[in-house]
Amino acid sequence: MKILQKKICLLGDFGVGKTSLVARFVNNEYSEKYLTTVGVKMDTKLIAVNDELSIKLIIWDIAGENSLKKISQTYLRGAAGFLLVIDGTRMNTLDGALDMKRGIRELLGDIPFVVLLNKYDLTTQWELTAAHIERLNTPQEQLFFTSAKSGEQVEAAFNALSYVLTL
Amino acid sequence: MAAHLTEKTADTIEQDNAAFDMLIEQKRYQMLKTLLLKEEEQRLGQLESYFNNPDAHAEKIAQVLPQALQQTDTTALHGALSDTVQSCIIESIQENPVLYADALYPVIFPAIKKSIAEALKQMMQSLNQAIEQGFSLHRFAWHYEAWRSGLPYREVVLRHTLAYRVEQAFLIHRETGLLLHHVSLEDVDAQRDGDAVSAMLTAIQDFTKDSFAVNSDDYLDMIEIGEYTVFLSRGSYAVLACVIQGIAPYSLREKFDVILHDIHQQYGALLKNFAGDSAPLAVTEPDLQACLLAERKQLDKTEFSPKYILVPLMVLCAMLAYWGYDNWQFEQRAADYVRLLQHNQSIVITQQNYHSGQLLINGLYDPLSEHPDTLIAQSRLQADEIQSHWQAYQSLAPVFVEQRLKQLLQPPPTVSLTLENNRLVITGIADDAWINKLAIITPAIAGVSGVDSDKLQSYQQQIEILNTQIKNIAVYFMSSSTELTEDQAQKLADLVAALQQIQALSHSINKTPHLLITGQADVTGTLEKNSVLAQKRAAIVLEYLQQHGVFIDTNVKAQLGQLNKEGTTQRKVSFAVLFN
Ligand SMILES: Nc1nc2c(ncn2[C@@H]2O[C@H](COP(=O)(O)OP(=O)(O)O)[C@@H](O)[C@H]2O)c(=O)[nH]1
Ligand SMILES: [Mg+2]
Repeated sequence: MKILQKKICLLGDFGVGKTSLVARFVNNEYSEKYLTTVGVKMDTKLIAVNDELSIKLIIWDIAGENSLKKISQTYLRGAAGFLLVIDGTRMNTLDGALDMKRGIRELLGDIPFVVLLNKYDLTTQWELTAAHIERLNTPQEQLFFTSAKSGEQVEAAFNALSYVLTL
Repeated sequence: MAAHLTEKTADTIEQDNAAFDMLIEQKRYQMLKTLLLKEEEQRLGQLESYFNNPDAHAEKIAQVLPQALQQTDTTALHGALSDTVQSCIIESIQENPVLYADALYPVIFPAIKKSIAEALKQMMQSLNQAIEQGFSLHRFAWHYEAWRSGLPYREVVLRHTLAYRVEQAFLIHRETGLLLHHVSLEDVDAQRDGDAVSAMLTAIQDFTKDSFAVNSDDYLDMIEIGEYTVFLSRGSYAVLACVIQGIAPYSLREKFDVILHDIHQQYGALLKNFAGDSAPLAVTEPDLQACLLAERKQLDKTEFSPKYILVPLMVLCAMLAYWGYDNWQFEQRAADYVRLLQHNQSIVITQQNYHSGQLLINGLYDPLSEHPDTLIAQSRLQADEIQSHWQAYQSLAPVFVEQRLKQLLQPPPTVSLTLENNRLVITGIADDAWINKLAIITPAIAGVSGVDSDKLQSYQQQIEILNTQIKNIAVYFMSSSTELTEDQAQKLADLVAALQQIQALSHSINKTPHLLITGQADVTGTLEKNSVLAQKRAAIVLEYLQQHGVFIDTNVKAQLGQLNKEGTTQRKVSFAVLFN
């Protein structure tokens, strides 16, 4: 059995739920408590692709900064893919995400990514409309409405990225 | 005479003839030569004049010199030139030393800086060792430590007599921070995931480099955590991180550098082409094992002699006495201040003690009276001799508590608040925003021990419950099919009912619901095919809903399938409601 290691990064504004998403995906945990990520936090998770191949994701959760400029760009070096996280209840996190996406494209080129529209459990506070989402200019298949709280679509999003990383 | 002549001539003539013949031969040869080699001769002449003209000669040599130097045997060339070059340089430096100093500064300065730094580090380390080992009281200290910690004496001794041991070695890919290979001592439980540690070490290096490094080739090369030291060596493709317990001698670092260099020499191609598969790098195991070194301490056997400690002891006593007196005086003044505070009825002192010449004091005060810190002025203490932490507190009588609650929470008219045995009971219907505020503010209100909000309902809650039901509905499809079968279509009746309820409720919160329909396919086949399938499935369900009286704004999206999941659970369409 072969194991491929892949470094992936979570990007998104402060408080969009990056750390919570990783905690949900890796340990199936959720806590309301907001723990500020200092610098960068790593986790790993093994995903079986088939009988011969597994992917080991090395997940870099980068401190909640509001722009790519402030994020130490060296943290992104060598990433095979990334998850762009947007807080669906805060419209302004979309602009942050757009900036970061542009930035990372310049830095790392055309690497695979998925977009997570997070806090999807907060239905009635949801602000993002289809028109907003269109601005992301991302194929629908790469968009996920996630909730770190309920866990919905979290695995699906990480999993879909892993899938693309095997292609 | 004639005879004589004749006689004589016969000989001479023969000789003469021979000489003549030769002359003729020579002439002929000369002519032949001129005839045949005229051109060559001219050219030789030119060459000769060229060689005799230094200017022309130099010009030609200048043209071929670089090429000639490239082709010469370098060692021979070095041998031939070194003396000359040496004396040239010496002469030239003597003539103008400043010029050379300027030119060499960027090279030499960092080197000097580095070598001084390393020398200092080495000195510090040996100094530390000397101090540590110079004391012979350790046996006594170890017994005490063993008694205090409950560890076996033997273990304590082992820990102290082991100068250092390298417990783990990580070989890390420089570009990605991915772990290439990892070894550790048998008795070390590498509690943390080596991959995460590897990534973390890389991030720490990046972080320190970004934050502190002045020059682009300054790198973090050592991390100290408690009794552990991590040495980091850096190669072009990989970083070697060795975790050392104890006092890590600086010489270890050179050993690690050499090992990493060897790894690069042997497996350079593997390192360079690394794309996530670390299995082939298990070949570095022996090299990494070679990093796991250990050394015992040299223990000082000489007995403890009191005369060495007598003088320092006396000095120490004098210092203690002075410090004690000073301290006593300070405590008197502090006690006065505390009495002053206690005298004031709005102040409650919850904690007080002294620490390094400061009075640390915690307590409560009523914001209606003066702040306790303003009383310092009336005491004999200086403000910098006090570290205080005061918290406001409020009266806990139920009437006040209820009043404060109403003031803070501002309940909507549809809600009533009552206090029962210190518990806040809330009944009625409210907006979500208000309920959230309730959860944040209430626990902070003094005199409320808990909240009963079971009888409190929110429109949003009811909507969320319906939405959860909706999210749990999914219709499934056969492989590669977009046909909505009879039994699957039946599930959509529940969906239609829930959507109608949500529409009714959403009026109360002044929001418009939107339906999101997500189509999905499994991962067998191409991305393109699956993407189209997912789209079509969602579209077919939308058509069905519209035919059955659902008139909510709808967005349709497709979604990628997932790895390692049953196909049957993935070929589906699912739903959710959003508001704007
Ligand atoms: N309701 C809800 N809250 C979330 C969700 N994800 C994160 N949060 C909360 O949002 C806050 C910020 O989350 P965090 O993961 O620390 O954000 P980060 O700064 O992006 O890492 C925390 O208080 C989380 O509890 C979610 O899916 N739903
Ligand atoms: Mg975080």
